[in-house]
Amino acid sequence: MVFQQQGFISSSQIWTESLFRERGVKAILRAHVQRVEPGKIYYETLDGEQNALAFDFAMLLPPFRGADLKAYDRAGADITGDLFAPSGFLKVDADYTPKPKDEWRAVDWPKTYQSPLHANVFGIGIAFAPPHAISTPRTSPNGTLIAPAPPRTGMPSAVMGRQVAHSIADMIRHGATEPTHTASMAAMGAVCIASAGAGTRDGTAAAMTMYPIVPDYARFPVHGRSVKDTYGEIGLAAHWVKHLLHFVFIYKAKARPGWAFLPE
Amino acid sequence: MNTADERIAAAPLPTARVLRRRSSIPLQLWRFARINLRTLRMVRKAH
Repeated sequence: MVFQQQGFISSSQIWTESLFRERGVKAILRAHVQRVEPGKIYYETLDGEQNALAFDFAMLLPPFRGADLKAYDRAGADITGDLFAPSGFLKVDADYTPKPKDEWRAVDWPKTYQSPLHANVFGIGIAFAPPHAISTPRTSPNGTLIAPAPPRTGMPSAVMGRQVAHSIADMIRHGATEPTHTASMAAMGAVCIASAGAGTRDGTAAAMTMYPIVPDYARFPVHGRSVKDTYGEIGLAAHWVKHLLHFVFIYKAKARPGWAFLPE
Repeated sequence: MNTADERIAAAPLPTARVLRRRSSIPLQLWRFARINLRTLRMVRKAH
């Protein structure tokens, strides 16, 4: 991801490293956690080295996986492998043809999130199987895959949910035979606000927008994303926005008056 | 020191002016409005 700041195009990596240096944060990159024992994490880095890190408090995000649901047809035959990818995610209207990274395209990504096998089955957000990663997947000399999974964050997931709901409503009410609404991650943007300190007067957060979420080098040949709509800033205002959004999300989730007018 | 630590150690640091701007109430009120406008722009692009 690149940002245009003060006349320069700089990468989000530099931006993040600057914030880490400012806050005294150390980082271990391109690592795969192998196991966790009380007070110690064992991990492998991309060069194949095995390491361990002691901790007092650890917060880990497990690898993205589907819910490992089982599926059976009317005759009772197991169709789990037909419906779901090996990762457990639901296969939808994406191009799952295995291809190297230089052949990845924005059009590979799903638009309607409908199962190609069953028209009444949809998978949105964290439920659908991505056609491939967004970032470059890497493998250690030991064969360990070290690759960040494509993020399916709240904003795009909520947009997918709304669009699929409209499609389903049209199919039920108006007899539409195909989904009528789309929400490709290659055609929508996202906002992300990462907190970096609380406090109405001295809080901080990093606010970022990106468009589109999945890089589209056909439309944006140089960087894959719109430089105008992809940006980041750090400051007190971003913390205020994050705080505001907490209330907005809960208000909308509780369907309080006017909730439908609040955006995802 | 691993490569990541070396990169972080060499990363640019914000100046005192930048740090003041990040916490300046008048400026951050303006930035609050701008961030919300950018957010609405992303929302419109998603529709």
